[in-house]
Amino acid sequence: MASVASGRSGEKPYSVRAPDWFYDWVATVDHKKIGILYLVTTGIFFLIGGIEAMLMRIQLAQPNMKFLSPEAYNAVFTMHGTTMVFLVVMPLLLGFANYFVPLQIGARDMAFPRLNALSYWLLLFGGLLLYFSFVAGSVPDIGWFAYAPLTERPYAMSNAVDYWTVGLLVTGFGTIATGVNLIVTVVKLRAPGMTPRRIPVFTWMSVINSLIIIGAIPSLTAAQIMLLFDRQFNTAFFDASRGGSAVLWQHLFWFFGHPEVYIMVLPAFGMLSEIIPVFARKPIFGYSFLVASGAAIAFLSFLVWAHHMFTTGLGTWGNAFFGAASMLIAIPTGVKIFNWLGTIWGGQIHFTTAMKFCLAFLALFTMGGVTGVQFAMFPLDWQVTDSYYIVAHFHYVLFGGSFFAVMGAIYYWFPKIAGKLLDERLGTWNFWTLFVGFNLTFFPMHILGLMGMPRRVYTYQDKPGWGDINLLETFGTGIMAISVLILLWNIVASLMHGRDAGDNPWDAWTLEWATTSPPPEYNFARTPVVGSARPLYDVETRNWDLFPPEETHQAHAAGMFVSRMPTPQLGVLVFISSEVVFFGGLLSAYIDYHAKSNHPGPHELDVLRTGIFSIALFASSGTLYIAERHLGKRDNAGFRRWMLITIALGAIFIAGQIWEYATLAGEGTTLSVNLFTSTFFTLTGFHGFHVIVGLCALAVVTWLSFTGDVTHERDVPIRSVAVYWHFVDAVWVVLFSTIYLWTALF
Amino acid sequence: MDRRRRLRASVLLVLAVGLVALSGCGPSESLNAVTKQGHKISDLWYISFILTAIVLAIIFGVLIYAMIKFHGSHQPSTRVGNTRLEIIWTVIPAALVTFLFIMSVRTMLAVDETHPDAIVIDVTGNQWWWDYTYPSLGVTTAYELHVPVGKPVQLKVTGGDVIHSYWVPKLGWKMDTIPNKVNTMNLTATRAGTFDGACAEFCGTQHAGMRMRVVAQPPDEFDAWVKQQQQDASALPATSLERNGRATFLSQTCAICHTVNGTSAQGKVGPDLTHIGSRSTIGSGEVLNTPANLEAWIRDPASIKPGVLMPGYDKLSDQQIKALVAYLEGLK
Repeated sequence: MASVASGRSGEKPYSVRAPDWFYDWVATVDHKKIGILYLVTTGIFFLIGGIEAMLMRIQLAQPNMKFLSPEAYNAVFTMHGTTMVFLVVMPLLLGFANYFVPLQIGARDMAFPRLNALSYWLLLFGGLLLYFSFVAGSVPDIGWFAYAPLTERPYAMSNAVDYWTVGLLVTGFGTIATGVNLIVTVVKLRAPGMTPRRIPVFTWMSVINSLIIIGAIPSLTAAQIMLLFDRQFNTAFFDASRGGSAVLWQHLFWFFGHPEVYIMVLPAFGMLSEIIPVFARKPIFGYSFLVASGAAIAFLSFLVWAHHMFTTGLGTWGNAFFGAASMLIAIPTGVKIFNWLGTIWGGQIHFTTAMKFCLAFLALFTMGGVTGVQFAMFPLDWQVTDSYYIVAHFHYVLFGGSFFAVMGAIYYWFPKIAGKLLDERLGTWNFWTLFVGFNLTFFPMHILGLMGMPRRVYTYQDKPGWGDINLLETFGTGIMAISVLILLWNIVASLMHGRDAGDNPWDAWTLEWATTSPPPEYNFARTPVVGSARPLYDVETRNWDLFPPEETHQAHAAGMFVSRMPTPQLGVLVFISSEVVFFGGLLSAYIDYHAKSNHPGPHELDVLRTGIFSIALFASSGTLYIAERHLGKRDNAGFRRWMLITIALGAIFIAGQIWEYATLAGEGTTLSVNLFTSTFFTLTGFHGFHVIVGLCALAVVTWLSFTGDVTHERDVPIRSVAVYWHFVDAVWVVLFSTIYLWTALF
Repeated sequence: MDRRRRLRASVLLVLAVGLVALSGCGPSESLNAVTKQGHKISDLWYISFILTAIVLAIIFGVLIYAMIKFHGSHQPSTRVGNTRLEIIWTVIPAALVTFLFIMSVRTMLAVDETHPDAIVIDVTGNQWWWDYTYPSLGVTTAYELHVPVGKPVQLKVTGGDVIHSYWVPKLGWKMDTIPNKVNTMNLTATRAGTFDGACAEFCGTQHAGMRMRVVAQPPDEFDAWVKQQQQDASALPATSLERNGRATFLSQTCAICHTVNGTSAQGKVGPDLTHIGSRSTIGSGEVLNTPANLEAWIRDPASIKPGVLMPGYDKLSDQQIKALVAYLEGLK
């Protein structure tokens, strides 16, 4: 819209204006367009990550190759892993969820369309920031796991680590926002009649996946903040020479990193559960068990992180606990595999390309699963971890598993997105080349691992058999590259002159197939109503009325479990759950470290003074409650009065914190002095930041009350902000007890 | 079966047979341990391997059977679940993993069993070499770990800078070497031999070049080695060339980083060189320890091992380098 008038008057103003399609995509809040943006962006990052993999395979094709320098190889394997995890698999699955979850539940968009757009742009710019490191000439070369202290200044002088940290922090915020969005969308916006047992399994898995995102990503955020502070503000979190713990980084990283594995695989389970029944012409077998086992995996995923750390010396009990919990995951995962087998058993299997990828998933993922159990057997882990055996294992899970499911989903859902069918002949070539190339590349890695080849090495010495096996693997990678080209060709050919797909080319049963291909911007002209998990099957077999008059919707709402809480308030509630994990990460560092520094140490804090200021903050929760009561009684003046008191109390707390910081700084106690000050200032500082954000929100709500936008009838803003403010208070109860009272009492 | 399908089936068969044959070839270093503890771990591996193979055979068998049997125009059933089946395929895997868990705990306890008379060896991982100190024997060396066959040894492993991981596959297992943390590895070698390994935790530019060698010797040979290593180098330079070499060593910056016991060189940044002449390789297994290689190393170590932290000494005269090489090779 930027129209710029020319300098001289009288002349016709010219305008600088990008073409309409550009605004159409950049300014879109349509979940389908955002979904396509996700898919295209992650597709491009997949090609980049794939090229990085090719470079690695060329370097490793023979012993003692000089194709890449050690520095270049280390950068390439770091960027391959980081790209594939953060910029490909995770956002690719979220992209599918973006496109199909609202369609599958009969909604017109996500609960927060603008937040949804923000999530995408954070992903894109986080990714671009990470890749700007190539332009800047300092590419991250610390592994996707970025183990401290290799990431600390003395060992990583350039800004490479900072690109890694900040780029991923940015994408992480977007991912958390998507998680919040998906959960609220499915809780609030399901079509009438869609009780929990009628929700399509892909949507279920996306919700469970979002819960894991909420619980896991903030742990990485906390760890990355500490790392960033170490590097930029000279704190001591992971600085071994000042007592910082290298193991703490690993705990925080894997508390994110293992659930991340399920973030990358649960939606793939969902895709399989959509595709297999359709092409076996049978309802999914054991629906409740499939969903419940997904939830069980999500729960267990938070109890197993240290199985990545068996060789760090966890001790007898640590090994036993994390080993047992990790083995337990095999049980719900097995339940899933068996139920998919149960679905094809007795079905009428149609070997479409989508189905082929799903059947291959069953074999390859099972292969990755059984080696996973071996890694849970901690004495075996001691021998085979960090060898090529584990490279084989997780590629069978993430490539043979997740990515094969994604390939199936592309063939299954592309006709809905594009309105054109993909070519099945090319699809067959696509499938077989990928299947053969994949196994040639990754199966021999099991053997190489057992032969003793460590991972992450830029070259290896000429030992019997090593060169031949590596050459075979490189050959397999070449076949996979051809496969990717076939896929691209198939997509381009289909877009140019593919056959029209029609609304429902596969005769499938879920709601996304009840609208046109591609769907209109509003998805459904009228709200659909469902009576089972397979509404279109009902339409076919028992004349189910999918679009009845609106008056009948109420009758279908029984047993739906739709929260009565306003959508924004629910969003805030889900968001602060992620904040709990973030503060939990910082707090765990404090608990680990506070006793390791004597001077300055926690006993030098002025407990009484901070206690008095804390009372102001605690009281503000009460005054906010009173303010809400006044609004409930339509007393707008009373509401504003108590709101102003709440803001004043919050401000007093912040003033107290500034005073405390100034006193400490006067004594020379600052962020970078030792472990205690690092953790103390980071923890209380982030809390203070949250209080300030809350104060701003309270001020805005108070202002909206003056303008008549917050009233008894329109109370959603204050209800949402109140949830946040009470949370910030509750965090301080925990922090004050842990930091001040604990030291004063013991 | 039409021709295309037969072709496809035979391609797959060749592929499968090839891959399995491949797994048979090549000595599996990891499963042929030479320590008591490693045997226990490889036994556990075989148990897990057999169970895994059975589970895979069942699942693949059902999958392939279903794909053949339920292909085509057969009328699909409408079954949506079976609670008894769900219970069965929950309970059986649960029993299997319980068994594997118990076996794992037993193996762990056996491996972690410490021996009061074990020879303690401090192992420190540094970028990118291994430092060994035998505190009870007063021996310090690098790269080559000597252990007596049949006698218990306890490695106390730690990190000098970043995290590394001590992995010689034939020993049977690995442990991370972490700064500010000491992990223990109990080892009892069951046969003599020379076994190679490499760092298993990414530790920077030359992670790939951070190799190590374990020399398991009969006790009398080990004792002889210890005696030799206990001697300092004060008596050493025999020839004038070697004496010139020592003078060069002590007058240049070598001594800031390296130790030669019996001289004023007591640097702790790089490997101890008191007995460098007796070690088989230089640069942590990068090249054989020959005078020519040592000369090339001193002139420009990065040409042999890119990224290495030692600077090159090409500025020295040919005379000085020759003397230096003669001196160092003489430190047996």
